[in-house]
Amino acid sequence: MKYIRIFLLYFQQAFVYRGRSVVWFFISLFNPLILLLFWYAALTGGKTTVSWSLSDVTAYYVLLIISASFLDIHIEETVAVYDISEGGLNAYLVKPISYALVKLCNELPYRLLQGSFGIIVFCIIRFGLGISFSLVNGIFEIITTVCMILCAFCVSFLFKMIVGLSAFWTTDYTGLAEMTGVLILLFGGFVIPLEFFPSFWHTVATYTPFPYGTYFPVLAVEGRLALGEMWRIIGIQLGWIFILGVTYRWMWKRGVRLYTGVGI
Amino acid sequence: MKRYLKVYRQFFLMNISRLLIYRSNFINNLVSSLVWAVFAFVTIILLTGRTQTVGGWNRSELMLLTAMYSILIGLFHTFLTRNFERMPIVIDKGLLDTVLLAPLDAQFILTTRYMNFTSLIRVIAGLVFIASIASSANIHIHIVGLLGALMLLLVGLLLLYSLWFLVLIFVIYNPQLSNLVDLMFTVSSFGKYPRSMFQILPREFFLAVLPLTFVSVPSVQMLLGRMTPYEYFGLFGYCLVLFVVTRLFWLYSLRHYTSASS
Repeated sequence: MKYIRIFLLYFQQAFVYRGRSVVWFFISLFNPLILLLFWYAALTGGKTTVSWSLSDVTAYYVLLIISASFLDIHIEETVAVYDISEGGLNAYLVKPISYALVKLCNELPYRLLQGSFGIIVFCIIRFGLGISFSLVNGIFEIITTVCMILCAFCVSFLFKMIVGLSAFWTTDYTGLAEMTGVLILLFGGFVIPLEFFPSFWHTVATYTPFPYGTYFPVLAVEGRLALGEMWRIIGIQLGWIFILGVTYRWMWKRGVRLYTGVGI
Repeated sequence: MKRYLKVYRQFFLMNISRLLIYRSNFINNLVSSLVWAVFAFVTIILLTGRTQTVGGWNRSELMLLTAMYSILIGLFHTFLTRNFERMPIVIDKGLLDTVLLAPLDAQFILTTRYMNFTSLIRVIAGLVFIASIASSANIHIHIVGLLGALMLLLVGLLLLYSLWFLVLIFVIYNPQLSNLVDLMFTVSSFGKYPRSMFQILPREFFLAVLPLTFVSVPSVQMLLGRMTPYEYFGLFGYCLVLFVVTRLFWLYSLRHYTSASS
Protein backbone atom coordinates (compact mmCIF):
# COMPACT_ATOMS: atom_id res chain seq x y z
CA MET A 1 0.00 0.00 0.00
CA LYS A 2 2.81 2.41 0.90
CA TYR A 3 4.33 1.99 -2.56
CA ILE A 4 0.99 2.85 -4.17
CA ARG A 5 0.94 6.08 -2.11
CA ILE A 6 4.52 6.82 -3.15
CA PHE A 7 3.62 6.13 -6.78
CA LEU A 8 0.62 8.48 -6.59
CA LEU A 9 2.80 11.23 -5.07
CA TYR A 10 5.31 10.91 -7.89
CA PHE A 11 2.42 10.78 -10.34
CA GLN A 12 1.29 14.21 -9.11
CA GLN A 13 4.87 15.46 -9.40
CA ALA A 14 5.10 14.26 -13.00
CA PHE A 15 2.11 16.41 -13.89
CA VAL A 16 3.42 19.55 -12.16
CA TYR A 17 6.05 20.35 -14.80
CA ARG A 18 4.14 19.47 -17.95
CA GLY A 19 6.27 21.78 -20.09
CA ARG A 20 9.37 19.83 -19.16
CA SER A 21 7.63 16.56 -19.98
CA VAL A 22 6.67 17.87 -23.41
CA VAL A 23 10.29 18.87 -24.09
CA TRP A 24 11.48 15.40 -22.99
CA PHE A 25 8.97 13.85 -25.35
CA PHE A 26 10.19 16.00 -28.24
CA ILE A 27 13.69 14.71 -27.56
CA SER A 28 12.56 11.10 -27.86
CA LEU A 29 10.47 12.04 -30.91
CA PHE A 30 13.12 13.79 -32.99
CA ASN A 31 15.71 10.99 -33.19
CA PRO A 32 13.41 8.35 -34.71
CA LEU A 33 11.78 11.04 -36.85
CA ILE A 34 15.04 12.09 -38.50
CA LEU A 35 15.95 8.47 -39.19
CA LEU A 36 12.51 7.91 -40.66
CA LEU A 37 13.12 10.88 -42.98
CA PHE A 38 16.48 9.38 -43.93
CA TRP A 39 14.90 6.06 -44.89
CA TYR A 40 12.06 7.80 -46.69
CA ALA A 41 14.61 9.66 -48.83
CA ALA A 42 16.63 6.46 -49.33
CA LEU A 43 13.69 4.23 -50.23
CA THR A 44 11.94 6.68 -52.52
CA GLY A 45 14.89 8.22 -54.30
CA GLY A 46 17.77 5.77 -54.36
CA LYS A 47 18.85 2.17 -54.72
CA THR A 48 18.78 0.13 -51.54
CA THR A 49 19.35 -3.48 -50.56
CA VAL A 50 16.83 -3.24 -47.74
CA SER A 51 14.10 -5.88 -47.75
CA TRP A 52 11.65 -3.74 -45.78
CA SER A 53 9.05 -1.60 -47.56
CA LEU A 54 8.51 2.08 -46.77
CA SER A 55 5.41 1.12 -44.80
CA ASP A 56 7.45 -1.35 -42.69
CA VAL A 57 10.13 1.23 -41.96
CA THR A 58 7.50 3.87 -41.08
CA ALA A 59 5.78 1.46 -38.70
CA TYR A 60 9.12 0.59 -37.10
CA TYR A 61 10.17 4.17 -36.38
CA VAL A 62 6.70 5.31 -35.32
CA LEU A 63 6.51 2.43 -32.84
CA LEU A 64 10.05 3.22 -31.78
CA ILE A 65 8.84 6.69 -30.75
CA ILE A 66 6.32 5.10 -28.35
CA SER A 67 8.85 2.51 -27.26
CA ALA A 68 11.49 5.16 -26.56
CA SER A 69 8.96 7.20 -24.60
CA PHE A 70 7.81 4.30 -22.45
CA LEU A 71 10.81 1.99 -22.23
CA ASP A 72 13.82 4.29 -22.38
CA ILE A 73 14.40 4.77 -18.65
CA HIS A 74 16.24 7.85 -17.35
CA ILE A 75 16.64 7.06 -13.66
CA GLU A 76 20.45 6.83 -13.68
CA GLU A 77 21.06 10.57 -13.23
CA THR A 78 18.74 10.77 -10.20
CA VAL A 79 20.47 7.78 -8.61
CA ALA A 80 24.05 8.83 -9.39
CA VAL A 81 23.93 12.60 -8.99
CA TYR A 82 21.08 13.52 -6.64
CA ASP A 83 21.12 10.44 -4.41
CA ILE A 84 24.71 9.19 -4.30
CA SER A 85 26.89 12.21 -5.13
CA GLU A 86 24.78 14.87 -3.40
CA GLY A 87 23.71 12.70 -0.46
CA GLY A 88 19.99 12.38 -1.18
CA LEU A 89 20.29 8.66 -0.44
CA ASN A 90 20.24 9.41 3.31
CA ALA A 91 16.50 9.96 3.18
CA TYR A 92 15.95 6.45 1.79
CA LEU A 93 18.41 4.62 4.03
CA VAL A 94 16.62 5.63 7.22
CA LYS A 95 13.18 4.57 5.99
CA PRO A 96 11.73 1.03 5.95
CA ILE A 97 11.35 0.99 2.19
CA SER A 98 13.10 -0.63 -0.76
CA TYR A 99 15.23 1.88 -2.64
CA ALA A 100 14.69 0.13 -5.99
CA LEU A 101 10.91 0.06 -5.56
CA VAL A 102 10.81 3.76 -4.62
CA LYS A 103 12.85 4.57 -7.71
CA LEU A 104 10.46 2.44 -9.76
CA CYS A 105 7.55 4.45 -8.33
CA ASN A 106 9.51 7.60 -9.21
CA GLU A 107 10.18 6.62 -12.82
CA LEU A 108 6.93 4.90 -13.75
CA PRO A 109 4.67 8.02 -13.81
CA TYR A 110 7.09 9.79 -16.15
CA ARG A 111 7.18 6.79 -18.47
CA LEU A 112 3.38 6.56 -18.49
CA LEU A 113 3.10 10.27 -19.29
CA GLN A 114 5.74 10.09 -22.03
CA GLY A 115 4.22 6.88 -23.38
CA SER A 116 0.82 8.58 -23.62
CA PHE A 117 2.40 11.40 -25.66
CA GLY A 118 3.83 8.70 -27.91
CA ILE A 119 0.40 7.11 -28.37
CA ILE A 120 -1.02 10.54 -29.32
CA VAL A 121 1.66 10.90 -32.02
CA PHE A 122 0.91 7.36 -33.20
CA CYS A 123 -2.81 8.22 -33.48
CA ILE A 124 -2.00 11.43 -35.40
CA ILE A 125 0.16 9.51 -37.86
CA ARG A 126 -2.18 6.53 -38.14
CA PHE A 127 -5.55 8.27 -38.25
CA GLY A 128 -4.74 11.94 -38.88
CA LEU A 129 -2.28 11.43 -41.73
CA GLY A 130 -3.91 8.13 -42.76
CA ILE A 131 -0.63 6.18 -42.86
CA SER A 132 -1.54 2.55 -42.30
CA PHE A 133 0.73 -0.23 -41.11
CA SER A 134 0.26 -3.70 -39.72
CA LEU A 135 0.13 -4.35 -35.99
CA VAL A 136 0.08 -7.50 -33.88
CA ASN A 137 -3.26 -9.32 -33.93
CA GLY A 138 -4.67 -12.37 -32.22
CA ILE A 139 -5.45 -12.50 -28.50
CA PHE A 140 -2.51 -14.76 -27.53
CA GLU A 141 -0.08 -12.64 -29.53
CA ILE A 142 -1.34 -9.45 -27.89
CA ILE A 143 -1.07 -10.92 -24.36
CA THR A 144 2.44 -12.19 -25.12
CA THR A 145 3.43 -8.78 -26.49
CA VAL A 146 2.22 -7.11 -23.29
CA CYS A 147 4.30 -9.62 -21.26
CA MET A 148 7.32 -8.80 -23.44
CA ILE A 149 6.85 -5.05 -22.94
CA LEU A 150 6.68 -5.49 -19.14
CA CYS A 151 9.83 -7.62 -19.19
CA ALA A 152 11.52 -5.01 -21.41
CA PHE A 153 10.66 -2.32 -18.89
CA CYS A 154 12.27 -4.39 -16.10
CA VAL A 155 15.43 -5.00 -18.20
CA SER A 156 15.79 -1.27 -19.01
CA PHE A 157 15.04 -0.21 -15.43
CA LEU A 158 17.51 -2.60 -13.79
CA PHE A 159 20.22 -1.75 -16.29
CA LYS A 160 19.87 2.00 -15.70
CA MET A 161 19.79 1.47 -11.92
CA ILE A 162 23.11 -0.38 -12.21
CA VAL A 163 24.59 2.48 -14.25
CA GLY A 164 23.41 4.90 -11.55
CA LEU A 165 24.85 2.77 -8.74
CA SER A 166 28.29 2.94 -10.39
CA ALA A 167 28.51 6.40 -8.78
CA PHE A 168 29.34 4.62 -5.47
CA TRP A 169 32.76 3.87 -6.94
CA THR A 170 33.36 6.84 -9.26
CA THR A 171 33.40 10.61 -8.75
CA ASP A 172 31.97 11.25 -12.20
CA TYR A 173 29.73 8.60 -13.69
CA THR A 174 29.10 10.41 -16.99
CA GLY A 175 31.77 8.52 -18.96
CA LEU A 176 30.09 5.17 -18.25
CA ALA A 177 26.60 6.65 -18.71
CA GLU A 178 27.47 8.08 -22.12
CA MET A 179 29.16 4.87 -23.23
CA THR A 180 26.18 2.72 -22.24
CA GLY A 181 23.88 5.35 -23.80
CA VAL A 182 25.64 4.93 -27.13
CA LEU A 183 25.46 1.12 -26.88
CA ILE A 184 21.73 1.35 -26.18
CA LEU A 185 21.25 3.59 -29.21
CA LEU A 186 23.15 1.20 -31.46
CA PHE A 187 22.11 -2.22 -30.16
CA GLY A 188 18.66 -1.15 -28.99
CA GLY A 189 17.69 -0.56 -32.61
CA PHE A 190 17.41 3.21 -32.25
CA VAL A 191 19.65 3.91 -35.26
CA ILE A 192 18.56 1.15 -37.64
CA PRO A 193 16.71 -2.13 -37.14
CA LEU A 194 19.17 -4.85 -36.10
CA GLU A 195 18.09 -6.78 -39.19
CA PHE A 196 19.96 -4.21 -41.29
CA PHE A 197 23.20 -4.75 -39.33
CA PRO A 198 26.04 -6.82 -40.76
CA SER A 199 25.44 -10.39 -39.53
CA PHE A 200 28.39 -10.40 -37.09
CA TRP A 201 27.20 -7.24 -35.31
CA HIS A 202 23.64 -8.52 -35.36
CA THR A 203 24.80 -11.60 -33.45
CA VAL A 204 26.86 -9.49 -31.04
CA ALA A 205 23.81 -7.31 -30.32
CA THR A 206 21.65 -10.31 -29.41
CA TYR A 207 24.15 -11.30 -26.72
CA THR A 208 23.65 -7.93 -24.95
CA PRO A 209 20.58 -6.86 -22.94
CA PHE A 210 19.97 -3.78 -25.11
CA PRO A 211 17.73 -5.17 -27.90
CA TYR A 212 15.53 -6.85 -25.27
CA GLY A 213 14.72 -3.43 -23.80
CA THR A 214 13.32 -1.75 -26.91
CA TYR A 215 14.01 -3.47 -30.23
CA PHE A 216 12.20 -6.78 -29.80
CA PRO A 217 9.09 -5.22 -28.19
CA VAL A 218 8.82 -2.95 -31.26
CA LEU A 219 9.04 -5.97 -33.58
CA ALA A 220 6.43 -7.76 -31.47
CA VAL A 221 3.98 -4.83 -31.63
CA GLU A 222 4.60 -4.61 -35.37
CA GLY A 223 3.55 -8.26 -35.63
CA ARG A 224 6.89 -9.39 -37.05
CA LEU A 225 7.50 -12.14 -34.49
CA ALA A 226 5.83 -15.56 -34.37
CA LEU A 227 4.35 -16.68 -31.04
CA GLY A 228 7.13 -19.21 -30.39
CA GLU A 229 9.79 -16.63 -31.13
CA MET A 230 8.11 -14.19 -28.74
CA TRP A 231 8.20 -16.71 -25.89
CA ARG A 232 11.86 -17.45 -26.63
CA ILE A 233 12.62 -13.73 -26.33
CA ILE A 234 10.64 -13.45 -23.10
CA GLY A 235 12.76 -16.34 -21.76
CA ILE A 236 15.94 -14.42 -22.62
CA GLN A 237 14.46 -11.27 -21.07
CA LEU A 238 13.77 -13.19 -17.83
CA GLY A 239 17.36 -14.41 -17.92
CA TRP A 240 18.59 -10.82 -18.21
CA ILE A 241 16.26 -9.69 -15.43
CA PHE A 242 17.81 -12.36 -13.20
CA ILE A 243 21.41 -11.42 -14.12
CA LEU A 244 20.79 -7.68 -13.77
CA GLY A 245 18.80 -8.18 -10.56
CA VAL A 246 21.62 -10.16 -8.95
CA THR A 247 24.17 -7.58 -10.13
CA TYR A 248 22.02 -4.77 -8.76
CA ARG A 249 21.75 -6.43 -5.31
CA TRP A 250 25.48 -7.13 -5.24
CA MET A 251 26.33 -3.53 -6.14
CA TRP A 252 23.79 -2.09 -3.72
CA LYS A 253 25.07 -4.13 -0.76
CA ARG A 254 28.71 -3.19 -1.40
CA GLY A 255 27.98 0.34 -2.48
CA VAL A 256 26.02 1.29 0.61
CA ARG A 257 29.01 0.24 2.74
CA LEU A 258 31.19 2.67 0.78
CA TYR A 259 28.65 5.48 0.86
CA THR A 260 29.53 8.49 2.99
CA GLY A 261 26.38 10.57 3.18
CA VAL A 262 26.17 14.11 4.52
CA GLY A 263 25.43 13.91 8.25
CA ILE A 264 25.95 10.15 8.56
CA MET B 1 37.34 45.06 -28.27
CA LYS B 2 40.86 44.84 -26.85
CA ARG B 3 39.40 44.53 -23.34
CA TYR B 4 37.17 41.65 -24.44
CA LEU B 5 40.08 39.81 -26.02
CA LYS B 6 42.04 40.25 -22.79
CA VAL B 7 39.14 38.85 -20.75
CA TYR B 8 38.71 35.97 -23.18
CA ARG B 9 42.40 35.14 -22.80
CA GLN B 10 41.87 34.99 -19.04
CA PHE B 11 38.85 32.71 -19.50
CA PHE B 12 41.02 30.47 -21.68
CA LEU B 13 43.80 30.27 -19.08
CA MET B 14 41.29 29.65 -16.31
CA ASN B 15 39.86 26.70 -18.24
CA ILE B 16 43.34 25.29 -18.87
CA SER B 17 43.99 25.42 -15.11
CA ARG B 18 40.68 23.69 -14.45
CA LEU B 19 41.67 20.98 -16.92
CA LEU B 20 44.94 20.35 -15.11
CA ILE B 21 43.36 20.27 -11.65
CA TYR B 22 40.57 17.77 -12.37
CA ARG B 23 42.52 15.18 -14.31
CA SER B 24 40.15 12.25 -13.76
CA ASN B 25 37.26 14.37 -15.02
CA PHE B 26 39.39 15.19 -18.03
CA ILE B 27 39.87 11.50 -18.83
CA ASN B 28 36.20 10.80 -18.25
CA ASN B 29 35.13 13.62 -20.56
CA LEU B 30 37.69 12.55 -23.14
CA VAL B 31 36.18 9.05 -23.18
CA SER B 32 32.66 10.51 -23.59
CA SER B 33 33.73 12.77 -26.47
CA LEU B 34 35.52 9.92 -28.19
CA VAL B 35 32.52 7.63 -27.77
CA TRP B 36 30.19 10.20 -29.37
CA ALA B 37 32.64 10.82 -32.21
CA VAL B 38 32.82 7.09 -32.93
CA PHE B 39 29.03 6.81 -32.63
CA ALA B 40 28.50 9.51 -35.27
CA PHE B 41 30.73 7.67 -37.75
CA VAL B 42 29.30 4.24 -36.94
CA THR B 43 25.79 5.63 -37.42
CA ILE B 44 26.49 6.97 -40.90
CA ILE B 45 28.36 3.79 -41.88
CA LEU B 46 25.36 1.71 -40.76
CA LEU B 47 22.83 4.00 -42.41
CA THR B 48 24.66 4.08 -45.72
CA GLY B 49 25.58 0.39 -45.65
CA ARG B 50 22.33 -0.58 -47.39
CA THR B 51 21.72 2.44 -49.59
CA GLN B 52 23.70 4.20 -52.31
CA THR B 53 22.17 7.69 -52.45
CA VAL B 54 20.02 9.75 -50.12
CA GLY B 55 18.51 13.03 -51.25
CA GLY B 56 21.02 13.29 -54.11
CA TRP B 57 24.05 12.66 -51.89
CA ASN B 58 26.14 9.53 -52.38
CA ARG B 59 27.74 7.48 -49.60
CA SER B 60 31.12 9.23 -49.49
CA GLU B 61 29.49 12.66 -49.63
CA LEU B 62 27.25 11.76 -46.70
CA MET B 63 30.31 10.57 -44.78
CA LEU B 64 32.07 13.82 -45.62
CA LEU B 65 29.07 15.67 -44.23
CA THR B 66 29.24 13.68 -41.00
CA ALA B 67 32.96 14.40 -40.69
CA MET B 68 32.43 18.12 -41.26
CA TYR B 69 29.61 18.11 -38.71
CA SER B 70 31.94 16.35 -36.27
CA ILE B 71 34.49 19.16 -36.66
CA LEU B 72 31.86 21.83 -36.23
CA ILE B 73 30.14 20.26 -33.24
CA GLY B 74 33.55 19.53 -31.69
CA LEU B 75 34.44 23.22 -31.87
CA PHE B 76 31.00 24.18 -30.61
CA HIS B 77 31.22 21.82 -27.62
CA THR B 78 34.77 22.99 -26.89
CA PHE B 79 34.08 26.70 -26.74
CA LEU B 80 30.36 27.17 -26.18
CA THR B 81 28.27 24.20 -24.98
CA ARG B 82 29.40 24.26 -21.34
CA ASN B 83 28.08 27.82 -21.09
CA PHE B 84 24.73 26.90 -22.59
CA GLU B 85 24.50 23.90 -20.25
CA ARG B 86 24.95 26.26 -17.30
CA MET B 87 22.53 28.88 -18.59
CA PRO B 88 19.30 27.41 -17.10
CA ILE B 89 20.96 27.09 -13.66
CA VAL B 90 22.38 30.62 -13.90
CA ILE B 91 18.94 32.01 -14.71
CA ASP B 92 16.93 29.79 -12.33
CA LYS B 93 19.17 30.35 -9.30
CA GLY B 94 19.49 34.09 -9.90
CA LEU B 95 23.22 33.87 -10.65
CA LEU B 96 22.62 36.04 -13.69
CA ASP B 97 22.58 39.02 -11.28
CA THR B 98 26.37 38.77 -10.92
CA VAL B 99 26.79 38.54 -14.69
CA LEU B 100 24.58 41.59 -15.27
CA LEU B 101 26.48 43.64 -12.70
CA ALA B 102 29.89 42.97 -14.32
CA PRO B 103 31.29 45.86 -16.41
CA LEU B 104 31.19 43.71 -19.56
CA ASP B 105 28.51 42.57 -21.96
CA ALA B 106 26.35 39.95 -20.18
CA GLN B 107 25.89 37.84 -23.31
CA PHE B 108 29.64 37.67 -23.76
CA ILE B 109 30.30 36.46 -20.20
CA LEU B 110 27.33 34.12 -20.15
CA THR B 111 28.21 32.32 -23.38
CA THR B 112 32.01 32.25 -23.49
CA ARG B 113 33.32 31.75 -19.97
CA TYR B 114 33.59 27.95 -19.80
CA MET B 115 35.37 25.66 -22.22
CA ASN B 116 35.68 21.90 -22.58
CA PHE B 117 38.89 21.04 -24.39
CA THR B 118 38.19 17.32 -24.45
CA SER B 119 35.70 17.90 -27.28
CA LEU B 120 38.63 18.77 -29.52
CA ILE B 121 38.95 14.99 -29.98
CA ARG B 122 35.85 15.22 -32.19
CA VAL B 123 37.55 17.84 -34.34
CA ILE B 124 40.59 15.60 -34.72
CA ALA B 125 38.39 12.58 -35.49
CA GLY B 126 36.53 14.64 -38.12
CA LEU B 127 39.75 15.75 -39.79
CA VAL B 128 41.09 12.19 -39.90
CA PHE B 129 37.78 10.96 -41.33
CA ILE B 130 37.76 13.68 -44.02
CA ALA B 131 41.31 12.79 -45.06
CA SER B 132 40.43 9.10 -45.17
CA ILE B 133 37.22 9.64 -47.24
CA ALA B 134 38.93 12.08 -49.61
CA SER B 135 41.68 9.57 -50.36
CA SER B 136 39.48 6.48 -50.58
CA ALA B 137 36.70 8.09 -52.67
CA ASN B 138 39.12 10.07 -54.85
CA ILE B 139 37.70 13.45 -53.89
CA HIS B 140 40.06 16.26 -54.88
CA ILE B 141 40.09 19.11 -52.40
CA HIS B 142 41.44 22.43 -53.71
CA ILE B 143 42.96 25.05 -51.46
CA VAL B 144 40.27 27.62 -52.41
CA GLY B 145 37.55 25.13 -51.57
CA LEU B 146 39.23 24.29 -48.28
CA LEU B 147 39.55 27.94 -47.23
CA GLY B 148 35.97 28.63 -48.29
CA ALA B 149 34.79 25.58 -46.34
CA LEU B 150 36.66 26.79 -43.25
CA MET B 151 34.99 30.19 -43.53
CA LEU B 152 31.59 28.53 -43.86
CA LEU B 153 32.39 26.34 -40.88
CA LEU B 154 32.84 29.52 -38.82
CA VAL B 155 29.58 30.86 -40.23
CA GLY B 156 27.93 27.55 -39.25
CA LEU B 157 29.36 27.93 -35.76
CA LEU B 158 27.86 31.40 -35.43
CA LEU B 159 24.57 30.10 -36.77
CA LEU B 160 24.49 27.27 -34.25
CA TYR B 161 25.44 29.70 -31.49
CA SER B 162 22.54 31.99 -32.43
CA LEU B 163 20.07 29.09 -32.55
CA TRP B 164 21.11 27.66 -29.19
CA PHE B 165 21.05 31.06 -27.57
CA LEU B 166 17.70 31.97 -29.14
CA VAL B 167 16.08 28.82 -27.75
CA LEU B 168 17.71 29.00 -24.32
CA ILE B 169 16.60 32.58 -23.79
CA PHE B 170 13.14 31.07 -23.25
CA VAL B 171 14.42 29.79 -19.90
CA ILE B 172 14.05 33.38 -18.68
CA TYR B 173 10.29 33.05 -19.25
CA ASN B 174 10.08 29.50 -17.86
CA PRO B 175 13.08 28.64 -15.64
CA GLN B 176 11.93 25.02 -15.25
CA LEU B 177 12.70 24.26 -18.88
CA SER B 178 16.31 23.33 -18.19
CA ASN B 179 15.92 20.33 -20.52
CA LEU B 180 15.87 22.69 -23.50
CA VAL B 181 19.62 22.09 -23.47
CA ASP B 182 19.03 18.36 -24.08
CA LEU B 183 16.56 19.27 -26.81
CA MET B 184 19.19 21.40 -28.52
CA PHE B 185 21.70 18.55 -28.38
CA THR B 186 19.18 16.39 -30.27
CA VAL B 187 18.00 19.07 -32.66
CA SER B 188 21.56 20.10 -33.60
CA SER B 189 22.11 16.65 -35.11
CA PHE B 190 19.69 17.63 -37.92
CA GLY B 191 22.68 19.55 -39.28
CA LYS B 192 24.46 16.38 -40.36
CA TYR B 193 21.83 15.37 -42.91
CA PRO B 194 21.18 16.81 -46.40
CA ARG B 195 18.56 19.54 -46.72
CA SER B 196 16.68 17.62 -49.42
CA MET B 197 15.79 14.98 -46.83
CA PHE B 198 13.56 17.41 -44.97
CA GLN B 199 11.61 18.62 -47.98
CA ILE B 200 8.81 16.11 -47.46
CA LEU B 201 7.99 17.73 -44.13
CA PRO B 202 5.01 20.11 -43.97
CA ARG B 203 6.08 23.67 -44.85
CA GLU B 204 5.96 24.95 -41.22
CA PHE B 205 8.20 22.14 -39.95
CA PHE B 206 10.55 22.48 -42.87
CA LEU B 207 11.01 26.20 -42.18
CA ALA B 208 11.69 25.43 -38.52
CA VAL B 209 14.36 22.88 -39.44
CA LEU B 210 15.82 24.93 -42.31
CA PRO B 211 18.39 26.99 -40.32
CA LEU B 212 19.97 23.80 -39.01
CA THR B 213 20.55 22.56 -42.54
CA PHE B 214 22.82 25.57 -43.11
CA VAL B 215 25.13 24.59 -40.27
CA SER B 216 27.47 22.12 -41.94
CA VAL B 217 25.96 21.32 -45.36
CA PRO B 218 27.28 24.53 -47.06
CA SER B 219 30.89 23.87 -46.01
CA VAL B 220 30.73 20.39 -47.60
CA GLN B 221 29.12 21.86 -50.73
CA MET B 222 32.00 24.34 -50.85
CA LEU B 223 34.53 21.55 -50.44
CA LEU B 224 32.93 19.66 -53.32
CA GLY B 225 32.80 22.83 -55.46
CA ARG B 226 29.00 22.95 -55.56
CA MET B 227 28.44 26.38 -54.07
CA THR B 228 27.65 29.53 -56.01
CA PRO B 229 28.88 32.99 -54.83
CA TYR B 230 25.21 33.99 -54.51
CA GLU B 231 24.59 31.18 -52.00
CA TYR B 232 27.89 31.90 -50.25
CA PHE B 233 27.21 35.56 -49.50
CA GLY B 234 23.52 34.91 -48.92
CA LEU B 235 24.47 32.58 -46.10
CA PHE B 236 26.69 35.23 -44.50
CA GLY B 237 23.77 37.68 -44.60
CA TYR B 238 21.31 35.11 -43.21
CA CYS B 239 23.65 34.27 -40.37
CA LEU B 240 24.19 37.91 -39.51
CA VAL B 241 20.47 38.64 -39.46
CA LEU B 242 19.82 35.66 -37.18
CA PHE B 243 22.58 36.79 -34.83
CA VAL B 244 21.13 40.32 -34.62
CA VAL B 245 17.61 38.95 -34.05
CA THR B 246 18.93 36.75 -31.23
CA ARG B 247 20.76 39.69 -29.70
CA LEU B 248 17.63 41.86 -29.78
CA PHE B 249 15.53 39.06 -28.29
CA TRP B 250 18.08 38.63 -25.49
CA LEU B 251 18.02 42.35 -24.65
CA TYR B 252 14.22 42.36 -24.71
CA SER B 253 13.98 39.20 -22.57
CA LEU B 254 16.30 40.60 -19.92
CA ARG B 255 13.45 42.94 -18.99
CA HIS B 256 11.49 39.85 -17.94
CA TYR B 257 14.28 38.39 -15.83
CA THR B 258 13.22 38.15 -12.18
CA SER B 259 16.48 38.12 -10.29
CA ALA B 260 17.13 36.27 -7.01
CA SER B 261 16.38 39.32 -4.88
CA SER B 262 13.49 40.97 -6.73
